[in-house]
Amino acid sequence: MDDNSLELFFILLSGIFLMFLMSVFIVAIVIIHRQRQVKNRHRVELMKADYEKTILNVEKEIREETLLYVSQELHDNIGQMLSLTKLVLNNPEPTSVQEGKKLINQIIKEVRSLSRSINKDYLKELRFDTFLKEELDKIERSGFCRTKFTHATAVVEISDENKKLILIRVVQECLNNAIKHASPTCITINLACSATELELDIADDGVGFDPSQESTGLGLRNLQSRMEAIDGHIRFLSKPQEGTLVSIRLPI
Amino acid sequence: MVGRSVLRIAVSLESKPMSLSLYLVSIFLGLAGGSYYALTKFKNGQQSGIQLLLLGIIGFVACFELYAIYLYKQGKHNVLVYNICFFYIETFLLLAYLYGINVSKKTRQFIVYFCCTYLAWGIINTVFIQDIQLAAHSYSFLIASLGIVSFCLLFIFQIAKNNEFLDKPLWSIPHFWNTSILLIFYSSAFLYFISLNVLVELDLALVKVLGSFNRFVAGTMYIVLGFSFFAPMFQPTNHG
Repeated sequence: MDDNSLELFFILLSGIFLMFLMSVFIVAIVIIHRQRQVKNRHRVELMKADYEKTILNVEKEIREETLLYVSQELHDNIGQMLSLTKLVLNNPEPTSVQEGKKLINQIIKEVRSLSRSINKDYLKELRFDTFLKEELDKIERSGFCRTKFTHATAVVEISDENKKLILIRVVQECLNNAIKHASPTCITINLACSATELELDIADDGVGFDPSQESTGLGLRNLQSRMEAIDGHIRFLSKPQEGTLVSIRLPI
Repeated sequence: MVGRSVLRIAVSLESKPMSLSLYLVSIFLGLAGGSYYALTKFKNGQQSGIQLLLLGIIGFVACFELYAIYLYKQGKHNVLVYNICFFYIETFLLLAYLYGINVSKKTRQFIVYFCCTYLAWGIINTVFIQDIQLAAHSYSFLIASLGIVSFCLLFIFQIAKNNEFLDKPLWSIPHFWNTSILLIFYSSAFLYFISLNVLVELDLALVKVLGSFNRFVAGTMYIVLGFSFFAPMFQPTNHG
């Protein structure tokens, strides 16, 4: 009987020990999972804050870019046209009044167009392909270089406004880089859009650069981090004296 | 050996009446909980195959336990019922459940291989080692326990390894509850069934204690399996 009790004790003890062991394993997994949840929540909050910061920066930069464009337009375009109108109207010939009226009408058009671009919601309401066309028109009008815009699909719609703003800023930055550093004779933008992805290629035939060089890395990394913030990808393909191709892919 | 086994299964059943009703209540409670959940979800068309499988397992257990008790009360041996229904069919059903909840292709493959091996072992055990009509297939149960425990451990381990369900607490996931309770039951239950055949000198009173302990854990398991799908209802809602 004593032996039996010992056997029973051993079986019960083994059973309880095994159950205890499994319970410890389960509790350990719950604790590890909980810790990872806390870490993950913290990481998500950081990512959110980072994204909001990116949006704020982008909005600020777009505002600055717009103001710079407006000031340039006021000085170089509208200012010049007003001076010309003044000269024309000072002319005592009867035809000069008609000429002056024409010029004033043109100035009114330009001012309307400018006021539209200052509007806070203008970019949000603007279609992305229209924006690209306008940006290239600006370059073309400035006489800096030729431009070419091709797009396969009729309408390109980016429903997420924040995504659109960041993408617009990235495009502006790429065009600015081409103007400032590449000295191109032609800038080409190619836009294509599938059901799930937007494909945008910005190419120039300028001096090009070595993407692996440290000095060029910071600006490009900034563009890369902005594209990553909206789950997009950006690639730079360039060689010295062989132009540059910026390839952007964005899930929509 | 065979003679002793017959005696021991009979003894284990004889020891039942004391906590048998509680054990049966546990099974029917689990069945009622699972059925209520399935019916409410059926109305909304949201019930899944896995939920129905679990409900089927509990229903199957309720049926064969009642049939085994009926046979016992008629003075007949019920070893065959336990061998076929508990040691084999329930094991295969639980493995099917584990197959369903595991997303890893490799794990699923292992489960299929294990099922084939287990079936082959069952045939060998029946033909050469333990008579299916007279002796509890404890060696088979040892293998089944090892398999179920391993796959449950793997499932729970993979939750931590792959950072799954990071958006909700683990206690709100039914499969976590189910695998945990299967792990706890099968890691200890095999000792009881092994002891039925292996430990020669146990007397009736001692087997009764072991049987009660085993039934207590099994009853808890069926309640948890039945009610586990209510777990997501207690998930904290995010008001942020």
